[in-house]
Amino acid sequence: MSIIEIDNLVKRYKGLTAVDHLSLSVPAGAIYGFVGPNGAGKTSTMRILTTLMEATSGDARIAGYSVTKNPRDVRRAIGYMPDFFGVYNDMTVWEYLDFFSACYDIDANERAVINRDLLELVDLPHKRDAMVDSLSRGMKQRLALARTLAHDPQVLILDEPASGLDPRARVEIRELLVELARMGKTIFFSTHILADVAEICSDIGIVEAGKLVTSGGVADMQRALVPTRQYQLRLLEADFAAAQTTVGQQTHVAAVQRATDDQGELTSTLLIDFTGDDAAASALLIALVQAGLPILEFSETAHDMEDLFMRATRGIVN
Amino acid sequence: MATRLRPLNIVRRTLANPIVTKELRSRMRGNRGVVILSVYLTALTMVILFLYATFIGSGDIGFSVADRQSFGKAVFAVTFGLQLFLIAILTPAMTAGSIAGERERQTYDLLRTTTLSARSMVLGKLGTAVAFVGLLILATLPLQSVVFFIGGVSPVELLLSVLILLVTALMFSAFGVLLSCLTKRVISATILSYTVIMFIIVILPIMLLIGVASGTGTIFSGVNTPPDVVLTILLFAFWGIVATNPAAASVASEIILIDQQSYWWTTLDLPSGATIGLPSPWLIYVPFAILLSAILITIATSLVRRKER
Ligand SMILES: Nc1ncnc2c1ncn2[C@@H]1O[C@H](COP(=O)(O)OP(=O)(O)OP(=O)(O)O)[C@@H](O)[C@H]1O
Ligand SMILES: [Mg+2]
Repeated sequence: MSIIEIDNLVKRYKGLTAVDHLSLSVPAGAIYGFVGPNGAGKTSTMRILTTLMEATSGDARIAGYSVTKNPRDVRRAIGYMPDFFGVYNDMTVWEYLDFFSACYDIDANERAVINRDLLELVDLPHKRDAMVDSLSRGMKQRLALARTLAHDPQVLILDEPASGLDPRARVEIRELLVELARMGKTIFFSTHILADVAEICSDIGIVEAGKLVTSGGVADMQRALVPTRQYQLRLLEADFAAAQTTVGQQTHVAAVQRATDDQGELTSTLLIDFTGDDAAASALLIALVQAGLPILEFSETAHDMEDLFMRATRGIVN
Repeated sequence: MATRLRPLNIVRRTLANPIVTKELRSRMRGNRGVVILSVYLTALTMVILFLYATFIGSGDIGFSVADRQSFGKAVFAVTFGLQLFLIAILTPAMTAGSIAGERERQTYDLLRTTTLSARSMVLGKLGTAVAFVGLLILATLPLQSVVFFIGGVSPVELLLSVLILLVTALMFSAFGVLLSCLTKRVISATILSYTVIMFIIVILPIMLLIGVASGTGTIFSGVNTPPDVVLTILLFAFWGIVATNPAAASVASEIILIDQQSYWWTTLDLPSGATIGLPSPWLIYVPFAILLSAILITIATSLVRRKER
C-alpha cells in the first residue's frame, strides 16, 4: 500500500519546468530517499506535498488525502522539515517545541508529556532551557526533527535533513530516521549525499531535471542498474594508451577508461566495465598477464550508490 | 448554563491561541511592557504639568470657572492628540513584523504546515497588538479623569474619545497586519504602514483644512452660489471624508459638541436659507473603522491561507 502517491505532478515557474510530470509512490513504512542533483526539483516537489505551494497541474495524495483538495487533512498527516531552520531568537528549546505543538491544537497537559518524550528521543533534554539560537547545527536539526513529530504524524517529509552537518551529526540523524521508521513512520527525504541512501533507505527515487529517472527498492535497483561489473587494473608505469587498447580487445570487456583522482589527474589505474562471470574474469587476468602488462593489482570495484547515481543520471546530465 | 459560560470560553480560546501566548511571552519578556507603560504615563503627566504651568504663568488668566473649563479642554485635547500620536507610532511597530517577520525568520512555512488556521494566525497577531495599545490607552484613564476636577470635559466626552482611540488602534493595526502579509520584509511593511498612517492622520486632515478654508470662501461668498442639491452633495462628500478620518472626525465632533451642545448631530444653514442635518462624525467613524478593519483582516487571512504559486 502506498502512503504517498504522486500523480503526474507539474510545477512550472516562469519559463522553467521544475517538476515535469512526476509520478511516484512511496510504500507505507518506507524510508524513501528522494535523490537528485541541485535544481532537480526536490524542494519544489516537497513544497507541493506539504501544501505550501500550488502545483501547476497534477495531484498528490498523502495518507489518502489530496494535497490540492484536503490540505488540512494532509497537514495533520505529515511532519515537515524544510531545508532551512526557522528560529525565534527569543525562545528556549522548550518554548519552541511547546509553541509548535500548540499549533497542532494539542492541549497544554498533553504537550508537556509529548515534548518531554520528544526531547528524550532526540537526545536534547539537557538543552531544555537553552535558547534555540544558541544550539549547534546538529542540535538544531534534531530539534527540528522533534518539532515535526509533535502531532504524531504518519509521514515525515524531510528536505535534506543531513545537509551541512558534520559526519558525526549526520550519523546521529541517520540513526534517528531509522528509529522513527521502526516506530512506524514513513520517511520521505531528499538528499544528494548518497551514503545516506545506501545505508538507510528501503526505497529510492532518482530525479533529474524534474523527471523521475528511476525508482524502486534499493536492492532491485542495484541489480537493475548494474548489469556490468567493474574491475580496477593498476599498472606499473606503462604506455597507458597501448594498455587501454589491449584491454579493450579482450572478450566481455564493455569499456575501459583511465581513472582520475580527486583533482582530476590521471592515475595509473584502468577501470574496466566487464560483462562476464568469475571464470571469464580469471581468464581476462591470464590474458592480460600474457599480453605483458605490468599488473600491480586487479580487483572488482564494490558498487556504491555514487556510482549507481552517476549511471542513472548519466544520459540526462550530459 | 452553556450561554453563561460563553464569554469565558472566548477568553479561554483566545489564550489557547498559541500565537497569542507566544507574542505575549516575547512582548513581556524582561518587563518590556511595564517599561513602555511607565515611560508613557510619566511623559503624559509631565505634559499635563507643563500645560498647567503655562496656564498659571500667562498672568492675565485668573482662575474663573470659564478659565478652568478651557484649561480642562486644553488638557483633554492635548492628551487625545498625544494618544493618537502614540497609536500612530506604536501600531506599525507592533504589527508590521507580524507576518513579514515570520517570513524573515523562516518560520512562516513551519507555521503554515501546522493545523493552525490562517484566521487564528492573523487574529492572534492583530489581537495582541491591539490589546497592548488598548492597555496603554486605558491605563491613562485615571490620569485623564483629573480633568473632571478641573471641569470643561464630561465623562461621556472622555469615554467617546477612548472609543475613538480604540477603534483607531484596531484600524491601524489591521493596516499593519495586512501590509505585513503583502511584503517580504519587515522594513518595507513598517515603512508602508507609517506612510499610510501619516497620510490618514496628518496629510488628509491638512488637505481638509485647506479645502474648508478655500471652499467656504467661494461657496458662501454669495456670488455664483450653486444650487442646494449640488451643495448638499458636496457637503455630504466632505462630511464622508471628515467622518472616516480619526483626526478630522474627532475635531469636528468636538466642535459640534462645543457649538451645539450635542453629541449626536448638527445642523447647517445653506445660503438659500434651507437647513440640513448631519450626524456627528464619530457616529460614522466608529462603525466605519470597525468595518474597514474587518475587511482588512479578511483580506489578510485569505492571503495567509493562499498557497504560494
Ligand atoms: N520560487 C521559484 N521561482 C523560480 N524558480 C524557482 C523557484 N524555486 C525553485 N526554482 C527553480 O526550480 C528548479 C528546481 O528547484 P528546487 O529547489 O525544487 O530543486 P532541488 O532539487 O531542491 O535543488 P537543491 O538540491 O539545490 O535543493 C531550480 O532550477 C530552481 O532555480
Ligand atoms: Mg532543495
